[in-house]
Amino acid sequence: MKPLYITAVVTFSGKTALALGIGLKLQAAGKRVGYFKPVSTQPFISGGKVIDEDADFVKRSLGLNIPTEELSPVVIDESLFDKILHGKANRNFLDDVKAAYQKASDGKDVLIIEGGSSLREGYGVEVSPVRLIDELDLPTLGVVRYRSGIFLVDDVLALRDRVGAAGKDMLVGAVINSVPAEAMDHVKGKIVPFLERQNVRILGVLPQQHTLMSMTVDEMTAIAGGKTLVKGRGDAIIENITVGAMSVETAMGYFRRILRKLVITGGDRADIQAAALETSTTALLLTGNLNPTSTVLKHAEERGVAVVLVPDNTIDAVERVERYFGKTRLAHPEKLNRFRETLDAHFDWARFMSVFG
Amino acid sequence: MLESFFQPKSVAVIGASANPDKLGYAVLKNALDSGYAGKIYPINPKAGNILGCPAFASVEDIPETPDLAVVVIPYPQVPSALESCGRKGIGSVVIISAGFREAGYEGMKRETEVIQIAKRYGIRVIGPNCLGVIDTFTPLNVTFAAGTPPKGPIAFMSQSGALGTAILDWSLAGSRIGFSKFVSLGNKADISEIDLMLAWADDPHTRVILAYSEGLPDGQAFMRTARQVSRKKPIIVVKSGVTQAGSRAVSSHTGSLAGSEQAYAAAFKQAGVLRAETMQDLFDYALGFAYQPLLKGDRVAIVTNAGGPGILCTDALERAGLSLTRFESATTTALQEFLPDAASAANPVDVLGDALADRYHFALEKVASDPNVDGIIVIVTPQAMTEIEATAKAIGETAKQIGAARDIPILSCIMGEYRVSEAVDKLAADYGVPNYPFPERAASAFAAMRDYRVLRDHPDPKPTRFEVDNDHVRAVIRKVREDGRVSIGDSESREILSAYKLRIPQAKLAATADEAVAFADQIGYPVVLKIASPDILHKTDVGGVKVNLTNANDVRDAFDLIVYRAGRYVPGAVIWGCLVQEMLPKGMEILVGMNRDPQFGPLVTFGLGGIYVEVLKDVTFRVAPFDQTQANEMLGEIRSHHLLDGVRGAPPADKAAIIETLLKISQLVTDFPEIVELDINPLLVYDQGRGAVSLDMRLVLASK
Repeated sequence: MKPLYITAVVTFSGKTALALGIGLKLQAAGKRVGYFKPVSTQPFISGGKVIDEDADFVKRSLGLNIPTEELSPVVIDESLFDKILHGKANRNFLDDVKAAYQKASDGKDVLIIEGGSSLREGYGVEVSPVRLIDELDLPTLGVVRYRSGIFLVDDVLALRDRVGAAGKDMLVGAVINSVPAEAMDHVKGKIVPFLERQNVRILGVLPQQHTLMSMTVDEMTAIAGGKTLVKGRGDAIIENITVGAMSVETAMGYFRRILRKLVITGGDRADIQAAALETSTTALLLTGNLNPTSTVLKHAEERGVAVVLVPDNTIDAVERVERYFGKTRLAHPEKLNRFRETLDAHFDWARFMSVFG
Repeated sequence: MLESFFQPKSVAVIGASANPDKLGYAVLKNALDSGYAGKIYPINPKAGNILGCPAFASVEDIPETPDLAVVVIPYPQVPSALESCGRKGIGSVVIISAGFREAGYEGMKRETEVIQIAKRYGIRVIGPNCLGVIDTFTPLNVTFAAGTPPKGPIAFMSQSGALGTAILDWSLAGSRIGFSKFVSLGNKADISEIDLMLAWADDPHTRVILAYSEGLPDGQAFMRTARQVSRKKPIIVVKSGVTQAGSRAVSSHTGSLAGSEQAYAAAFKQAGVLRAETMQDLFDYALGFAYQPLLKGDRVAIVTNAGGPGILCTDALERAGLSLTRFESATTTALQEFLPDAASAANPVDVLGDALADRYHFALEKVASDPNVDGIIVIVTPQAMTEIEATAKAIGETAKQIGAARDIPILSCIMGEYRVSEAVDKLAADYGVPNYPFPERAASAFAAMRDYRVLRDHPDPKPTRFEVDNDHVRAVIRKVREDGRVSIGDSESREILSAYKLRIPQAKLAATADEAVAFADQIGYPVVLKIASPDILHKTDVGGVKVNLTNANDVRDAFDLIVYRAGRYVPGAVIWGCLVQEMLPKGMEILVGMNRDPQFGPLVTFGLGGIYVEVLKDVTFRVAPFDQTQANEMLGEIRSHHLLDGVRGAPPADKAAIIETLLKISQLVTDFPEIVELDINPLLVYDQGRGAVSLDMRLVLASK
């Protein structure tokens, strides 16, 4: 059995996607693939249990049947956090992780271990990525999300140094994720060669994709709260957010250029709503608890556009949705397929396998 | 067309009632009171006798097939009533019942159902949710309005039924206005303004068609029909909901986008439709067209008994672009001989405050007979000795004798109310001379006549077709679509312009500073660098343009700076590099644009670039496709058009090149309906004969 630890420098880098993408690829190659996520800070209640939504999705996608407590042995929810703060946790988290590790590796060729949401996680429960890598001798793959050229260099080198902190050479390599088209040449032509000279294998440079940054209508509805007036398609993809607070002519100019969008506007702005419905719009988020007219609802229904009404004013609604936008989960078949295609095209499998073995 | 709505041989009133509280009573009562000569069949499940007519339980029980059915029953029963009409073979139905689209979502579904039934049986429908239909010549009144208006030459359709009742009530007050037909359009589920215009085009009782409209069903179809009909008789429309707040109200009514103010103005002009800003204007204009001959020239005479109103009228006429005529000398001489010394024998003719009817009559005869006079406004202020009745009669007689013979319009402006209203009513009733309480309103009625004449006589457009490479354009659009984009950037726009044989500057996309320098070396300095990005539309706003770069070093610096700035100002923008372009000599900057209007389609803009567009909003519009004559008119319509002719010794600009560009854009946006926005800004126009170059263009495709 070979373990592969997948970690990231910052949150929302694409760790879950990479873990799942690699897992599926190895499964396709005939390997028996296991998976677990030692530390989870994103608890989610499902069927009366606190689980990790991402981990649960990976588990299901890989067709694994693992009980929740083995999938995520350490779930830091409010109550556990409170106990830790009061010194009353009375648990050896490392032992719990090790036990889960043993169980998860049973009968597997490869065990994918997904790190927490960043390299700075897990210290509170004494199972930081660095400690885990060291204790369990985990070959590690890092995923780094592109933010800018200089951040990229710093992030990758920080990854190298953290993973190597215990003095072992455990870093298999790094994957650079979400590189915008205009930065691609710069990243591939200059940054990657530089990083390779700094002894980091760059195993993939994945282009930024709007579909992957998107959220679904269901996700948006859950985030926004409020009342669903037209259901639309819950799994339809929202790739952009626009606010309709201007004149309808100005709005039309924007709306025509922005595809698969969520339009946030006042419930009384019939003109803006009509303009949105005439362009590529996935959903309308209407604010101020002002009910739109029935004609708008009918047009929305005919076009399959979801309509959600919230009591917030427009600014608050925008803030709420934007906080989550671009950081949404992979849990959507279309997104997953797109990511697998991207991985096939831009991840150096041969080199990865030659290092990972 | 639609005769059975207006001249049915027999009518069924479905929902007729003996209960005066019901609409079905009012409709039946109006029908009976209107003097209708055909058979009226009340339909009521209780049957019996209603207002003296034997009633039937269903239209299917009537021994003959009525031409028209009027539906005044609660909405849940409307579908089955319509089915009955269909089975009976009734082809025309007025649905007065409410509870349809105007009543919300469920109502909208009901309306769709009703229209599907109508389609299945080939029934034409007016309404639902309307007041009904009146034809005063048949005569037939199947509305629930209070009374039948006087007969007259005006046909009026109204999207607002309530407004209709107000107008009809007003018409009953005096005898100053009469109607040939009145239709309350209601929800326009089937029959709209377009059908009625066409139906009334050849109606011998109708001289002018009026409409109050909140939105038109199909802008392009409206334009085509109105263009035909307006050659036969004037169409005057009040279009409400054109301001921002107004259009929001329209949107919340209809759930779809309203056409823009500019599009309505352009479309009406192109279709020969007169636009009235207010209901008052609508009827002021209508009276002139309905009761007087058309103003055939622009030369107007004023006859007045007071200086002030005469001057007001003069101002109003001149402002409207009409002129005060100069009389033939025989007219002036005759006037001078007869009028008191203090009077004015020149135009405006001032017969003085003490003028009695005979002095007015003499002056009017002379003025109306003058061949230099195309129309007359007669102003009467009610002074102590003024013979109001007799003066009105003098005006009427002049109109009857000379005005009719010479086919020139005479409008009266007997001012006041208390002392004059009887005379005004009589003048209208006996002689058909409309009266305006203030001179400016009479002047604007003349202006409307002039506008109509110009619009009517405008030749049908003869669009020119240019030999272009549409396949290439299609290929560019396909590529953009395949990329999942809707914005077409500069370099792709260049391909489209080239396919349309519009001149563009030499240019090349450089991905790196080295490539930029190499190309600049090749075409020669100075050059211009522009950011190349499909995500950046206003290049100058992000510092994305550098001009007059005279050497390789400058080009290299500019490239780095532009790309750096673009990335900073538009985070996440895809940047292809920079466009290196030949530096063109200075020319006049022109804007040519297109925005697809939700109502009328491709609305092409023309104006001078820079501050003229952005600050002064000095632009003009046409709905494409248009022809050379119309393109030429566009050039003359902007306020700054003199600049095109050359001012302060500057040579005139190459107007032919601008017109060619406008026509090619008209063709492009007509051939490619998927283009929803287009801007050439600037089009650099050189001196006459030296052409024009499209310096920068952007396009947006419909997202679908």
